Amino acid sequence: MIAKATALHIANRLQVGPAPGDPAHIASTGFEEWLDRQLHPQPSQLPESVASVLRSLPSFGKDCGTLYADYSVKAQAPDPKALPREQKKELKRGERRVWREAQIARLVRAVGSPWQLQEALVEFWFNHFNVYGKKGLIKIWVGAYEDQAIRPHTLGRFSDLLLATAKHPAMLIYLDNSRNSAPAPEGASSGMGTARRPKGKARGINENYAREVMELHTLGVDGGYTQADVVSLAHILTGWTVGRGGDMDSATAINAYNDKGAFRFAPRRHDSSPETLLGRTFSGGDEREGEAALLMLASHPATAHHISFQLAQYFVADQPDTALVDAMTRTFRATNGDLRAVVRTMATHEEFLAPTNFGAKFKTPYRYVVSAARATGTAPFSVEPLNAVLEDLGQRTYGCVSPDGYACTQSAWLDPNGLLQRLSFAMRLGAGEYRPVTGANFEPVNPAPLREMLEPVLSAATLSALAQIPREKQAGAILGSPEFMRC
Amino acid sequence: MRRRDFLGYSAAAGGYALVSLGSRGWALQNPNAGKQRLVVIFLRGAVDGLNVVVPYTDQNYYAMRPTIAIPHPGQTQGALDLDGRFGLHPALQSLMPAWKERSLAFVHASGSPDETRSHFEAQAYMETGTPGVKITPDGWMNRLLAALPGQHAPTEAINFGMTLPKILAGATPVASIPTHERGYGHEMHAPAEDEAANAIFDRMYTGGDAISVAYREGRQAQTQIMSDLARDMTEAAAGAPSPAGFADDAAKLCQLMRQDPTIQLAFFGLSGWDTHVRQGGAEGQLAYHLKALGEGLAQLRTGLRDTYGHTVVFVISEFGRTAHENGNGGTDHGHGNVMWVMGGPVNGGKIYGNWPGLDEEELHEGRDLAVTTDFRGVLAGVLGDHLKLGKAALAGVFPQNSAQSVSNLIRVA
Repeated sequence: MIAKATALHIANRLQVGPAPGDPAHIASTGFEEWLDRQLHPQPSQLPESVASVLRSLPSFGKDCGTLYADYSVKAQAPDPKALPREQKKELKRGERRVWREAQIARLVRAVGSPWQLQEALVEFWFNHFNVYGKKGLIKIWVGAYEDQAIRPHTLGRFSDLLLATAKHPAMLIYLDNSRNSAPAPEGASSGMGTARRPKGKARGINENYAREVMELHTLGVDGGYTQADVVSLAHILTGWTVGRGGDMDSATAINAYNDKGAFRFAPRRHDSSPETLLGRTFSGGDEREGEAALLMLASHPATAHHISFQLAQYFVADQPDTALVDAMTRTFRATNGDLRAVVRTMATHEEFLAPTNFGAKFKTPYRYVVSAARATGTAPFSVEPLNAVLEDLGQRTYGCVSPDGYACTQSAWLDPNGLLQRLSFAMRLGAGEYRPVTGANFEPVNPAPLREMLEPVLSAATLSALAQIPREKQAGAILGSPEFMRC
Repeated sequence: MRRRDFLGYSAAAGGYALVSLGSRGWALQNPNAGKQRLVVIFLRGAVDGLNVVVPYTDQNYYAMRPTIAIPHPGQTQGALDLDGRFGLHPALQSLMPAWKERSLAFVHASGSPDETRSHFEAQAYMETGTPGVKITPDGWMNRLLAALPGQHAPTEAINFGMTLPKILAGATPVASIPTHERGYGHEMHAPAEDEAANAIFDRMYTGGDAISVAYREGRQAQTQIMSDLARDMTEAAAGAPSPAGFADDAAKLCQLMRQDPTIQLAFFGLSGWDTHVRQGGAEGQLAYHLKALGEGLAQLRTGLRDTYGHTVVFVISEFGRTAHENGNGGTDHGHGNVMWVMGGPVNGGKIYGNWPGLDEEELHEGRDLAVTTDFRGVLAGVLGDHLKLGKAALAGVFPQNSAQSVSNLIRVA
């Protein structure tokens, strides 16, 4: 039987946060068996309380083409300029509603799904392959991006995850590869946009995705690539775009709207001349050239190390132990990037269970809010207000503008003002303000289960403060304690 | 006071008790605080400096930027002539009064000696002030804070935003206030409103760990800031609200700085400059952002009133963008950029730096504006002349800095 403190540590780190009863459940199931189950999530098996919220979201579960057809301003009104202002505004509100529904779909699963390791991994990988939910059509595609490109692969092969994100319309738009095309073939002296072209028809190389995929998604900034490699990869990925391009044939024209939400390889935008990337030559007239290049990046030793380091930083320590990262890197390389095996190596490594790591990680606002909701048994149908709390705390869901995603370290998030905002939220949550009102007053959260769960970590100062306050303030006080700021 | 002194101070007040501050409490305890102020605005994402301060006499400029170049001064939507060689982006019209009164200067072809084109590395280097060194734990503004004379109040440096940026991270406490973007004011929780909760948490956050220290800094700073803001709500409301958030935040900073002489440093991080696609020329995406920025800076110039005479504002960005426009009417990550320096003490109306030109052989790696002035030279020059930092103090703020300090940027008083 594992100790209470160890069980709490596991529930803290391999879940988005523990609900009362989780540590005891881990202890009685046994770590190995519990971990094995969490490594094989059944996303279709969700409690009815969670599933019913997902069903209530009209845009949830739709593919990108359908989302485009049903919600984009463009598809609703081919000439939006001709619309009355109010009508146009309403259509724009419709797009934002889809974004909002995606935020709720994320939060309801983070708070209510029993597949908690999966939910933690979803947050990790979304940040790793971040897209910004307010840029253009990403508003309506961000939820689909998470559901189609991220969720199915979190415990699969890294290369599948990489290719799924690379080809997803949300990523293609976010990092501009949808516009990355071979320079105009003739009449252009330098190939650098020498003639004025109609809006939106511009052609030429755009390095944005090519750089970030190496710096952030695969090799890491010290992974040994050069500016010449960035340019080469940009050329290799020319023609990877979204929906109908200039090359649409009549068969796709029939499904033109549907095609708008799909990956599309546009051969006429592609530069098929040979390119050297990290010493290897790539060429070809179709998307297989880019796939081969991305697969090489996925299996590069620098990638194995970069991914292992980041996972260890997210799950174990801001400055992860070298032996742990090395063990994960070896597993990554030996299994050709099997992420389930890498996570298993991490979770079963002695460093993961080292008591020095207990309660040593400062929670991000996301972890803080979700863990507080889980610790207080917040009902899945009332997660919407949590969204606003996350905005106040500086971590709006799908709201990270820059491609490195939200950081997971203390240095990024520990801030005096942010901390006070957390305390204010803690007291309101503890007072029952996030619960549905049944009687005339809010019903305060029962502090007993919370206290029992956190008993191994509560300090003398916290216990003495609790002893001096009335019961109805105790849950909030526990949620605001220094111990609950960490995990 | 350093963080350690700060803790000692708190402890001296009896275990830990919150020090009750009058609205000018820190000022009273800090009579030696310098009047000189420094504001740093970081344009995250790499602003296209060649379209901010336009080299309109360099013919390469127009050849390299067929669709996004800013036309010559005098032409429709042309650049605003600065010195016969360079012109300002027309969306920055609001800065021309500062240029004409000579309180605005630019340092062109400036930037980092490190060649990285990664946003995150380049920002980190510019914030730590140690290009190429990844392990520097603190930011140069925090080291500067420690180097300033006198006692240090937690409101001596103000960060606009919810999280502490690298540039302000370090041993000396810094206060944060939410920006306009986060719904400034509307959800801001005044700790004084819930005395009972404060009493609980004051008992819990007594330790010497980083989280407890942050709590105590937050309590002190917020008490002070809330009282400063509450005192003059009518004045703040009288200013016409601007559509762009930055101008509102700038107005808030003016109010705080005018009222609280302890505030010496302030920092804003603004995003939206990574214009890979359709950045536009005289109008469009970049113009839109520049307009909002310019109006915020103009707000600082007028809103600070007398304090403007003691304030220097830097606008910096991690690197410049490619000299050529790319295939999408945008620009990719480049190297050299332009730094903006504004304020009463600035020897302005001039463009500083050594302009290398845009000839193919002068371009960095054949594609980007070269860096001929190290950003640390510009910062150190101003820190020395404006904040009166000596050589030893400057070496603490910018360690291992061999860059020559740019002189004459500050008027001799």
